[in-house]
Amino acid sequence: MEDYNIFASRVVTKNEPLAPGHRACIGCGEVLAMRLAAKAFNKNTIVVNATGCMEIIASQVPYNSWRLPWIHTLFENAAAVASGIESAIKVLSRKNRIPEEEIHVVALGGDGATVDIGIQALSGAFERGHNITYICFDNEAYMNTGIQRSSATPFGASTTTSPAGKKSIGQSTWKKDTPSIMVAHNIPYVATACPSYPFDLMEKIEKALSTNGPSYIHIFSVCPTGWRTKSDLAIRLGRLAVETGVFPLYEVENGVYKMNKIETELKPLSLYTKPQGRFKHLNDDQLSAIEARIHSEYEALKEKCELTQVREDM
Amino acid sequence: MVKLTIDGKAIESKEGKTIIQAASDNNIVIPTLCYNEELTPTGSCRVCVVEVIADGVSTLVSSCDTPVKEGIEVYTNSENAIKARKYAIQMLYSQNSEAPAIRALAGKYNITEKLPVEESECIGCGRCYKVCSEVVERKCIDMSVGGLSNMNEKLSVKWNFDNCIACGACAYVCPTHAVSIHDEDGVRTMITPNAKHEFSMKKCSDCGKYYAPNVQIEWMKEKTGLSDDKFDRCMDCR
Repeated sequence: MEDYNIFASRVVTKNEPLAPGHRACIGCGEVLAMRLAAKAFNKNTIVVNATGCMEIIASQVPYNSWRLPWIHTLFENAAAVASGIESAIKVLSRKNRIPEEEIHVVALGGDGATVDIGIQALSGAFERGHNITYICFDNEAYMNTGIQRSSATPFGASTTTSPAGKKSIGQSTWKKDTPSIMVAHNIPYVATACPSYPFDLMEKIEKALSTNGPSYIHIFSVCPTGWRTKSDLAIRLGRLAVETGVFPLYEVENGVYKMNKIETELKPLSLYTKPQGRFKHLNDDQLSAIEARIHSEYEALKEKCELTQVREDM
Repeated sequence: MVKLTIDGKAIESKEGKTIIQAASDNNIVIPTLCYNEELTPTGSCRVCVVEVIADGVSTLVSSCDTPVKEGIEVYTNSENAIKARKYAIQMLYSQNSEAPAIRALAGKYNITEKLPVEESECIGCGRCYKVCSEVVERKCIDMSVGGLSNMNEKLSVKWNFDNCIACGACAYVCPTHAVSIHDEDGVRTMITPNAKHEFSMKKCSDCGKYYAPNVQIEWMKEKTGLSDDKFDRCMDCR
């Protein structure tokens, strides 16, 4: 990944489709991801927002932070509503009721709305092949209702419904590999991104929007409130998640994997877990066991990249 | 305020704005390749061409560098505008049919045939030149001719690497990725259409990561007037 520091940021559009003055927590990494994503949207974009942190902070009655057409849906049906809108646009333009132009439909959801509650609607929308982009902002638990575990919560994290204690390590299951589930739908574009790498994130959003067919982007969003960290660490933790191998950045175009940032040597996991209160109960043995699994998954992903690229070249 | 119509829609716009800005403010999207709202327009790719009718006279203009005027009628998708835009896109496609941005435009306007022009990665849009002189203020890119109007002359974009700080702003704005930067083992390589140059990078004193080219840090020191020890460590360790 290219390191476009200092000057390139000044040529990024100053247009802000997500207005300031919303009610996100101090130091929120998720709203930063959403702001960057919104910068990459075209003016002809309709936003479908599932219930979750990003919905409640941006739309408390009677205010709304979105400067784009925006609709709120339930937890479970953001993808279904987005497919409906996409189909309606198609029909209306066929009947000459609206001018023929490119209108993007983007659905946004948190990890709860995507990985747990909304996965059925999302799977259906992708299977039907609607031309929509689904963006999942993954902060690894149900944060706005009070930090309940979701299936995106990592192993060993302490949440209010998976509290760590004498008999419990915290979350007892491994994080669900959602991008792989989306790849299994054989959709043209799947990517993972993180707001600590803003240019990469915006490039991936643009790519997803220009893809003809369904596309999925999984964005790793640091949540200082729910992760029990200091509020100035969102960017640093995002970067550490990538550098320790916890959240590798990659994209899958038509089944071909490509790593955007390959670490020759992964940083020790403790650098990432130490600043976080949700991991503070883990001892060294538990940490090294988690680290071993992360490393083996990282190697497996690298292998997948090589294999699919060889297949593509043939 | 200036009153005009775009695609039949009556709009008001501030004086001094260009047609593409006025259209964008009113959610009318005009396709473009070389335009960047943070840079002064070059008007070289001609993709943003629109038909303007003023006092009953119709002309084709590039909307990125034409200011709005009282009473003009702008048509972004009239027959003439589409014809001119298709020609511009076909010209770009003939030069570089690999770049995703051009492929997307060509796909949208159903262009598959190429014109007999010399193929080159760089399409001479001038964005790199603009960003270097206006944003980075190093003026290390020299551009003699460019754009559709000068198609017969040989394109020449040159990097003066003595003045370059390897910031990568030109690589970021390049719509065809004809310029790129690569970091490996403490060396940043800049690849431009006609030359390659390597820059040594600075190591972070804490974590040992190579984090920025030395020349860039010198420039930052000069610009900010901060002491040497402020630049010893990378963004993470600071």
